[in-house]
Amino acid sequence: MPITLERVSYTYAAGTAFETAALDSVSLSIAGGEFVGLVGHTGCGKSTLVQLMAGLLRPTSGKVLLDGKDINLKGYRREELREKVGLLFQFPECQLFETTVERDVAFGLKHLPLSAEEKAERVRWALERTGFSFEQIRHQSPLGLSGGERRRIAIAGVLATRPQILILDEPVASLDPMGRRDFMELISRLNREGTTIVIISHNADILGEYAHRVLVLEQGKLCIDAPVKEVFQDTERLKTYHLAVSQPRHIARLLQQKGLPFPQDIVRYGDLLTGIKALVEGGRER
Amino acid sequence: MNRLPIGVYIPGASLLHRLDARAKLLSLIALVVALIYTGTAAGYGIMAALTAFLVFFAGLDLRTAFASVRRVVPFFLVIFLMNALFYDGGEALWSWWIFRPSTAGAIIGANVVLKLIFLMILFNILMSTTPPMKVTAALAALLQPLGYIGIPVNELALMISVAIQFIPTLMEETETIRKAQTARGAKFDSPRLRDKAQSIMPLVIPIFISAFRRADELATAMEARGYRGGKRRAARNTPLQGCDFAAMLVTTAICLVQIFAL
Repeated sequence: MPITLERVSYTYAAGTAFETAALDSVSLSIAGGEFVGLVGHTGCGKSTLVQLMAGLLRPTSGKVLLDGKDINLKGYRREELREKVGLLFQFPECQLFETTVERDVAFGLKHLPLSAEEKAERVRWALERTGFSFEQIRHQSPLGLSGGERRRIAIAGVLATRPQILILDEPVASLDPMGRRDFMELISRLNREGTTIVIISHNADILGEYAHRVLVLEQGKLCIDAPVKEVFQDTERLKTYHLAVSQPRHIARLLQQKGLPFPQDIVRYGDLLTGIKALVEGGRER
Repeated sequence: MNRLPIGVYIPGASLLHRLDARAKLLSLIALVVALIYTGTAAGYGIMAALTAFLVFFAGLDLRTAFASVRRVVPFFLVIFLMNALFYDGGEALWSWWIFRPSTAGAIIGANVVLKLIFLMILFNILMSTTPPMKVTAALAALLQPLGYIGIPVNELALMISVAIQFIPTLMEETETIRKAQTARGAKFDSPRLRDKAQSIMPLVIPIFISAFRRADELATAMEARGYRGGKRRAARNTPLQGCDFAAMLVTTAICLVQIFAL
């Protein structure tokens, strides 16, 4: 299911003292099954962009098309949008409110045309996917759990609706390294199973490791839209946007400067290791 | 869908921005008293002219000035109708069941609503031209005499200013949670009453939790920076200038005119 933005602009509080242009004529298209990273300096309009994609904001001008249909036209069924596009906000642990974990995760399913058994099954599936034992957690209050657990429950709440497009706004901020890896593995698996992923992250390693394509926003304009390997080759250009490349790419570059032959497109730790292995073996043969 | 922040300080260099906060507070009080006594068309004319003048000199545009008023229009409507339909004095135009609309009631209702509208705009002008810290300092200075009879004036001023400062923060947070729950399928925009009722809890509970968490964090942060109650800590006020006295004089004059002349 492709999602397309056609010259979308958005202005906050138009016509008042607080008027600020957040997005300026952004056009892009994301095909089904893609894994897209969205980066940019603070206040560049990333959050606004994903909220427009999820239909939470209406563009001041321009169109947002989901599967070819304009989601802001009057006749469009909003329920369809909510079912197909899942959006996980920053610090989603703040949105929990139900008395039990099970009910909170089921909140998004309330309006879906599913039988009670199907709903229960989806809640179980989502909680197990996020690393909980369903029987253990289902009757606990979400408010008594730790921050990390609450975040995973919030994620389960979004997963339970089985969105075809999953948008994540800084999902790994303030998670510990293990939690971050587990979370990204979960997202990566969902992507391999066909879910489109759009992720906002300041973490270049995560983008290098998982994203196929990177979008760079700067002051409301889309500056770069290219495969991650291409984007991370131009270190200098990224610097002008206050962005850094992933660590493996950085290490490979330093080694290249020392005169070691490395391929240009290393962005992941796996690629870096393969490159080093090839070098070592090449050295031995000589 | 996006709501304007209300009562937020808008930096600027207008005449009203430069006035002393104490002078502005006292002037506001004078104008509120004047409003209470306003009752004639001429009186409202004076208040309207003055308010328009203030909005202009604060450098506010009309949308910002009316932002808070627009939000409570239904509330005003209820007040007006309650007065117009149920007022006991005066002659009823007709009467059916419990309703007995009267011209006198309608006039009283219109009076109350007009006064509230002016009140909100005036308050909005003060808040958007004065930084919260200055409001606190001014409040503390004006309440100082109460300290002699054992009222914790500085704490009171701090509480008021903290409460005022948190309004925009809480509103922003409400907006975020509203959006987050909408993304999960809550139906805030649905015209159906059932949907509306069902979407209250997902909004109210997270906001309560976060408000308590914020209060807790603020208390810790204040203690960590050495806050101890009972001491004067609001910023010192600079002496009043000529224009401050002029502002107070003009507003007091308007107040007296409203009370005695009209």
